Amino acid sequence: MNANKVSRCVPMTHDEIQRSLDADWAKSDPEVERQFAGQWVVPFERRIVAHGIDLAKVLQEAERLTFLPQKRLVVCGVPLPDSWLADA
Amino acid sequence: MPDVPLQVFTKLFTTDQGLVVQSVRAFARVEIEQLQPHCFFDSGAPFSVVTWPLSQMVRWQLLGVSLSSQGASASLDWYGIPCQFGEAEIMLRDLSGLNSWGPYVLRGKFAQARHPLLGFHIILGMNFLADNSVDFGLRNTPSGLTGNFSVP
Repeated sequence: MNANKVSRCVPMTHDEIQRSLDADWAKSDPEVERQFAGQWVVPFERRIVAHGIDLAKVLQEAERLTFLPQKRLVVCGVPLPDSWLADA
Repeated sequence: MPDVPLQVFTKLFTTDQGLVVQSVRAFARVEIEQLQPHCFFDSGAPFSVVTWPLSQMVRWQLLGVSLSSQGASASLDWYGIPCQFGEAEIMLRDLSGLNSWGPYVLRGKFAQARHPLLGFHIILGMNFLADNSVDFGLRNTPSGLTGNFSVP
């Protein structure tokens, strides 16, 4: 059952690269994990500008603080510390 | 076929007998809309899984609320959590962060309730490879395990 989707390489824009770097940082930083486990976070320029469990509210807060439209923000979920072995 | 590297992370544990053991997961960098969730590949999973509440945050198409095979019903639960079967689009990113690959079809179980620990994750199951004609490779190197998806 091949979906027959044709994949392609899409060069990322400067904004997309920045969002990806911010996301990589947020997903790997021990302090982010310690402070925000179990929450959605919006990383922006290597800091967490909004966080919480309600994604819509988190995005609204991030939009207000960064003056950027929501579609230009990246959102990550911060796993709980014990999630590593959760399905093992 | 171009390679999209995976991030192979190791976490050490110590048994009650003092033995240090390593556990390993292979993570893919993925984007689904504006979300960049934690995403790991599980060769023991026949279907991909989108955990809750992630499953409530992204657009996906419902493909069914039950499964059957040769006339017999099959469970759509995931660790006892009710799921619906659906499809979404997902992008893979390479480790340089400069390119995205896709879109790929993400078919699988979309959880309808919270797992006690996994809430921000996508688990890529074996069907991800089959549905997208993607190869998966793991290799031992002097610096540890490395892995990649080879994408069409």
